[in-house]
Amino acid sequence: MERYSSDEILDIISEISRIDRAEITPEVLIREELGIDSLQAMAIVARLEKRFSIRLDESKLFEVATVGDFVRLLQEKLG
Amino acid sequence: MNRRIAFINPKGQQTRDPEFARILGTLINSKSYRQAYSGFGLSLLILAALTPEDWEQELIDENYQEIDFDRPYGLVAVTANTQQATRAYRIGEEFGRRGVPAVLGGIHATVLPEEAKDHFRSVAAGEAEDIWPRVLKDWGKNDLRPFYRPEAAVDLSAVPPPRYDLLDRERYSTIWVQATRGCPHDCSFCVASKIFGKSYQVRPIDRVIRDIETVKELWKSPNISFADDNLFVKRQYARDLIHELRGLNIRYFVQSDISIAEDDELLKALRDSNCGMIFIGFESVTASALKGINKDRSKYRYLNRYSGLIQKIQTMGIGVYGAFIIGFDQDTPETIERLGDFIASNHLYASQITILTPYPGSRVREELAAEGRLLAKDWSHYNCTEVTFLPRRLSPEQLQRAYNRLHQRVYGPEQLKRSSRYFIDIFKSLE
Repeated sequence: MERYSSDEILDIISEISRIDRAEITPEVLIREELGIDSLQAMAIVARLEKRFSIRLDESKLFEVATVGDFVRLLQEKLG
Repeated sequence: MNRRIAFINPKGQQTRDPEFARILGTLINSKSYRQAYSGFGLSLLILAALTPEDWEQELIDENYQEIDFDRPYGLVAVTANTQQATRAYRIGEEFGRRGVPAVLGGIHATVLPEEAKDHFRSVAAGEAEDIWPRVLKDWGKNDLRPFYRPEAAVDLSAVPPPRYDLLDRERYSTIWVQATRGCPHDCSFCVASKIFGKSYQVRPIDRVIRDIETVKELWKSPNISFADDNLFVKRQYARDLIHELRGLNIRYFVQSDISIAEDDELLKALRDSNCGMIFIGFESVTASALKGINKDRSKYRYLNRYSGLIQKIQTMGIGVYGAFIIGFDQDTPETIERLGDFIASNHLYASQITILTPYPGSRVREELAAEGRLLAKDWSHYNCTEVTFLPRRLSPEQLQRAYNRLHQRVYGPEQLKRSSRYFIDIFKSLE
């Protein structure tokens, strides 16, 4: 099983959304506060899947509201 | 004189069909879509910019705020599309009863000025930039005219920067920016050509960039949506503009016709400059319906290539937001079902499906009126989600049911899941 850190996930979100890393904190709302749209969210999932050689449940994407939700999505998969 | 002015956007309603409203409420992404596309139109922001600084200006979006009709305004400016017209008329009457001069502009007043005049002191029929300074001048002389019409063509290079600073930053995250005005295609259901003629004008690129920089100063992470009906009619202009966007670090959306998919260089530039989505009017996947839409048959000529061209755009990581209309004379339950198949099999990022709506000023309305097929419904039903005419091969009830079912299918959880996986796999292949 791949190891991961929350920071690495936040780095990925920052890189794909082109939003300054300092603004990417677990509690921030991805749509309302960061302006990340669903296409960018899918790009983030794609990067996570590739990086950690996993397949996430795409229907869970609709439940993601905060950056922390992305981290939890991966936690659930990687344990 | 009392130089307090209210710029009012009347309340609109997404639908008045109770079953469709119920379905919208059940869709997984209905809330996020409402939020994502909650932008405020540019017309009142441009009017505010055209108004001298010694006026006290208030922007009222009735979708979020109540209007205080007893507040002492010296002048009230209202804009309305057809769907908002019924409510706009009540607003004009309320201010009229209080002796406050109110002016109505916008698409609906431009095509039906005489009707609008029954409810407002003055009607501004046409583009605001030429008209508004005359309205203010006449107001200053206490001599508002009943009608204002353009006296000269609007020079887009002289359009002032919209007053984005008047918008509530918490309320709106999608911000509209305008680079061009007009559309040469003259589609039967659209009134853009009626309002702007077939001319197509562009704004100087440095002005557009300046607007975007203003928006960036005001919002931390705005979604910038180009308000242009078609940003890509003048290709070299579009190329130059997109080139400039690359350095701005913005996420943005554009509207085009499908021919953009043939321009590899432009598609690449869109992707590199972080364009997220292209809104494209496909209108129909039924050949006979497409043939009748416009004289140059520009849409019909692409029908057989729709799928390949959609795939070409989307495999670059840019979503296609397809716009479709049902209710053409050629439509049957089968053609509407085929449209659902088309949307599903092409994994469109998003779809805007509307019921053919005979807007005043459109050729469709003239044709349906001549055949006695317009239903007696007030303008608030002209929201593109309700049947306002007698369809040729379906009853109004059948068309409404087919429309509602199509939404359940296209935005149902299974379809959204399949579409999401499609895009996730695309992004993986692009890594």
